[in-house]
Amino acid sequence: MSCAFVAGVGMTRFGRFPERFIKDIGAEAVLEAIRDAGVNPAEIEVAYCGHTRGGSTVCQRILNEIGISGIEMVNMEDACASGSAAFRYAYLAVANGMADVVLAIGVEKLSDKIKGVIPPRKDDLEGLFGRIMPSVFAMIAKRHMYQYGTKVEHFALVSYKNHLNAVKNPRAMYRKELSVEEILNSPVICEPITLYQCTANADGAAAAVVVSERKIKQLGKLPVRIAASVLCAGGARVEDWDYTVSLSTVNASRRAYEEAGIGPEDLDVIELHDCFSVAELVHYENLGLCPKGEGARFIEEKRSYINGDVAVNPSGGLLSKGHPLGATGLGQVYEVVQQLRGNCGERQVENARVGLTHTMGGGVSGLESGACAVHILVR
Amino acid sequence: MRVPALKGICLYLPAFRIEKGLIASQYMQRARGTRTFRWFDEDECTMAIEASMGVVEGTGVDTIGCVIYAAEKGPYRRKSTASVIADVLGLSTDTLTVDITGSERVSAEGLLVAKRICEATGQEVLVTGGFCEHGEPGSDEDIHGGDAGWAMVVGEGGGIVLEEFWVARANVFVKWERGEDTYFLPDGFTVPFELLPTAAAILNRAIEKSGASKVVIGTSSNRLPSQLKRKLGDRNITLFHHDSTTTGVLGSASLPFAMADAVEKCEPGESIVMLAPGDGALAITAKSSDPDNVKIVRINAENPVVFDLYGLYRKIVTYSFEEADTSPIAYWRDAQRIFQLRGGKCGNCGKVFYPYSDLCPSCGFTPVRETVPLSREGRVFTYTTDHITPSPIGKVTHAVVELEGGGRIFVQMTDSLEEMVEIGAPVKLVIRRIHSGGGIENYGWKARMVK
Ligand SMILES: [Zn+2]
Repeated sequence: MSCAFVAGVGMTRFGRFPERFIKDIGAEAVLEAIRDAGVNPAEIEVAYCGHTRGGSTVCQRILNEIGISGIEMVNMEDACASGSAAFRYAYLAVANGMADVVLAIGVEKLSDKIKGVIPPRKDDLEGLFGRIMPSVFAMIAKRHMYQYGTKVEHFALVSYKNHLNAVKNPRAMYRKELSVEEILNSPVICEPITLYQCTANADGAAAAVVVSERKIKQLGKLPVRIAASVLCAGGARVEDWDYTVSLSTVNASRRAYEEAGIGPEDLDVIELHDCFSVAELVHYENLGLCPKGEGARFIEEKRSYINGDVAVNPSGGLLSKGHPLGATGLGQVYEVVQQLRGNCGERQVENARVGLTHTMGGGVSGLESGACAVHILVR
Repeated sequence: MRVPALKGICLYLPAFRIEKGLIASQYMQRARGTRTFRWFDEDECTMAIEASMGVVEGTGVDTIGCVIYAAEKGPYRRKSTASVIADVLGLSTDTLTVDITGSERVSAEGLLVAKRICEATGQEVLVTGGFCEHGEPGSDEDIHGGDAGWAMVVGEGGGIVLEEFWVARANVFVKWERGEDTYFLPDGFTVPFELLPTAAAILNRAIEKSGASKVVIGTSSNRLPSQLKRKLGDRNITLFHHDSTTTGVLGSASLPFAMADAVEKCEPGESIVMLAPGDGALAITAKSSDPDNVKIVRINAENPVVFDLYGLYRKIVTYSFEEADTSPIAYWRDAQRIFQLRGGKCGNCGKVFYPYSDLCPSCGFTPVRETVPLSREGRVFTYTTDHITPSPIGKVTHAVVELEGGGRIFVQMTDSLEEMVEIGAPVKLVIRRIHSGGGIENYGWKARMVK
């Protein structure tokens, strides 16, 4: 396999845009990514588009809006990891020598579809029994508290940090600093998770132009190399499975570290799937940033802050930046690429060289998650 | 010659009561005692299932060849409730399922049909029913009604032998009909004119023929038993009827409740007459051979939770589930995969898992093939209280339960207002309503705390 690079990224602000069509939201991000890469739109050979509720041929609708047609276009669905799946397939197309310039798009418009929690599927056994995503993570939180003595304040601290980061991110949905007290005193969703520890459904889009080594040299851009790309389905929740472990995150990150030839200690910046505060805390452990059971200490000692050992979710994460499901994975890529380029202003992680994105998607009975994607980007 | 006899009775009451006086006082009326009421996810079918599972617990279902659901009404208009119960019990698909509905004497009718089937085939018959009554706010049903489920097993070798029956048809209703006749009861219920002489006539005949010393009357009326007693002259008869003071009147479920009391006081060799008024009356005579051989199980008879909020009580009993996206396909799937609570057991690594899959989720061994019944008892592995899922009490507790003997299952907790759930707490799985829509009621597993 040859190397693949991110030449350009684009992202809309995440928020609620009931007045805009999904194709317009998508087109904004794509145009920015194309301009950022400096490629001619006619050079794009393949486009992958991740979304969950956009309807059929979203990719075609978006690209038609900006005058791109006739090329190979594939629409992909992998729940919240849809955008990351699109990014991975763009990577694969380039790395396998299939194309020199490939577009990955993630897009979602939820504001006219879902209010509040995403309803469980009635054809899924646990969905039928009433499982909703916040309850899954709340039950993980209860186990973490039971097994390791973690306190509700630790979960709230994660949310505090991510809201603090989002204040410095003009494209984030919620840019308001919240105190730990405000977070804990917000309405209870699923104990111990309160409203301000939940991500918010959003509208938005993000895109990346992935190119070959030959092309990145020709463009004369700072090369951000995709050093690892892993996508896997969630692991089975067998009867002795420890709820605080995300098997797919452990597996995907270990494979990614191996592929990139690095370890978790080499990471400077991480955008991970903090759909709920507890998720980020357990993913410190799952990604190997700290030993099992020490997630609470990791946040308490501010090691995941922008100036800590490794900046986790400097963009504000899903918690504050917003979560337009299909766009989330490419939103993470956008942030990591901008961090590696040193473009992040007040929230810039000093001398960031190695970054990781981690996206999870979906809830399926019997699996600890639907999908998990991990990418490592290196400058 | 086969001898059909009563082998077991299980009586189920919901966990909740409310003072009748509290309801009555909202409408400038008075009443004393308490009434039972179903939780928002219970109905006639789930209460019958609770009782059915209670009556077969320990003895298993292998000998049961027929299920009869006998109640005034069931959840479906054109689907057999007995079939739902047979599905939950895991009975084979060639098990005969029969629904009998109609008047308050329907439980006695079920028993009679069970006797006939047992005589003809030698099979054991499960007879079960549920009763729910709430009516409009302030109605007699609201104040004086009650909710319950029951189940009885009829088969050879039981302790109370079912013998003969007498029936008299009279064109009357016993159900709490309000009218201007003289039998207007103080608590608002009516016993129509013709009922008393009709019931008294066949009761006298049944007693004469059987020489019974005990009479069990299954009626909603608190007054009818004493009126009948007067019609029996100077016979030395002990009357049993279900006293509705603490439960509310239980309609067709009154008979099994009264029967259990009589069986407990019965001597070997004694005869009993069961009398069930309704469209006339039906009497069945029974002879006690070995009354200790009748298993009697009572669920939630003790320590009920007593509500002191009328509004919340009404909210719970009138709660209708959000119309969900369900279908006969979902029902079929549920009957196959959910109701029977069977999991897979890996022939390679020995892990037990739910739901069943052909491939072992733990070691990948294939094919698993073996399904195993899972225990209904377990302990909470983790839980949360969800404040956003709609519920008449404003919250729903979710739990992952580790079942005794293996298997984990995600369920909602039920039968509780307060959160007493904690990791490690013992729970029991129960069948409750999960969602409904398009005329389909879907049932599934939930868990309640074991006290
Ligand atoms: Zn196995």
